[in-house]
Amino acid sequence: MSSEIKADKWSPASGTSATIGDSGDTYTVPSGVTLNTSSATLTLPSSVITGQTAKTSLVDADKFLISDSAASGALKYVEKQYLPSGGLVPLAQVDSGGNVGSISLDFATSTYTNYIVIVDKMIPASSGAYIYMQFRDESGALTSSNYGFSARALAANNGAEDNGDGDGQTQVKLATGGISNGSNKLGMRMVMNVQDPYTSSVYTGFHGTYGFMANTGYANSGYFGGIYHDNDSVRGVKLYLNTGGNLNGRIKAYGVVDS
Amino acid sequence: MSKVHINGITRDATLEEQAELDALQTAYINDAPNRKLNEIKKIRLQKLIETDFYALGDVTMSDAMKTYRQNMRDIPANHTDEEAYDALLARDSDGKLTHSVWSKP
Repeated sequence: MSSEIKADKWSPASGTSATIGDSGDTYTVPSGVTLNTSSATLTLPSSVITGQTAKTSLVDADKFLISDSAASGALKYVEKQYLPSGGLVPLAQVDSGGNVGSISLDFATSTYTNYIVIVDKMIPASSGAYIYMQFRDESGALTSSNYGFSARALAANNGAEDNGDGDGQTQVKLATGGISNGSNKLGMRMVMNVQDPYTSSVYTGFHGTYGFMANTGYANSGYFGGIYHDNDSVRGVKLYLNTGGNLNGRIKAYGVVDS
Repeated sequence: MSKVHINGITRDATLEEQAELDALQTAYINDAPNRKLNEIKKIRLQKLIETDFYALGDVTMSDAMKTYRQNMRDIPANHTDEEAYDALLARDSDGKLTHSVWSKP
């Protein structure tokens, strides 16, 4: 049996509240019908959000609902690509998870000019080794004699200098005093700014700060910088030991947003 | 065979990569005497700095101190092989250098 109510207005029989149907009932607003609540107070169940399928990564075209303050609070959407983001964009990271002969991470693209590379742990398997760094292009590590660099660290106990430098080198040398292999001492750490690596018409600059627990048992900290003087499209870095031995570490890379 | 870790993937080193690591290892082993001599020179420099004030005009440097400092300068000439370097770098259980050349008068 079906029936139809025709009325211009529904009102509570008494008081100011009324109920439509019972639990389990479904009321359908057919296609083409306008349910205008624009002037009403509309309370939605939280399951409007929590009942939906979760998405674990966003793409530029994904949309967020907003109230436009410049248009009397009108509902609008904004796409993810137009949302403001932080100045640093996480690009890539690696954790060797154990001892390996070298650790490499590629991160550079045409999107960013500047990159921040963080090494928060680089532990040699045997004490006394130090770090070699090379850049990588699309074919692998760049091994030609194009590295010019200098590095200087001071020991915490007596200010003794740990220096390294060279031009026309096949790699950058860091922490040449030798690094402790204590697993709780983090080995060598560094934060490096890499400038314009991807553009093949310019050299690749780099500079940063680094610290390490020397195998003498004292902390060292200092700074380094240099340039890879060849027009190459650099994609990433490779870290390994001067001894050819194993190391265990992590590298993270971030792109620096220009504006 | 060594492993390499590239962009989150650990794999066996290629023959070329292994050759590079082996070459580094060989060079490191062969360079041991130079590393030891450099370490000795660092220690020597520190010892000389500690006694530099004896060379000031208002301080008299004893003959024993002169000999001590001259022996420091003569270390590379008088100690020329890796065995001698090991002797110079030897330390006791307290970490103190045991070779007589380091004994300050």
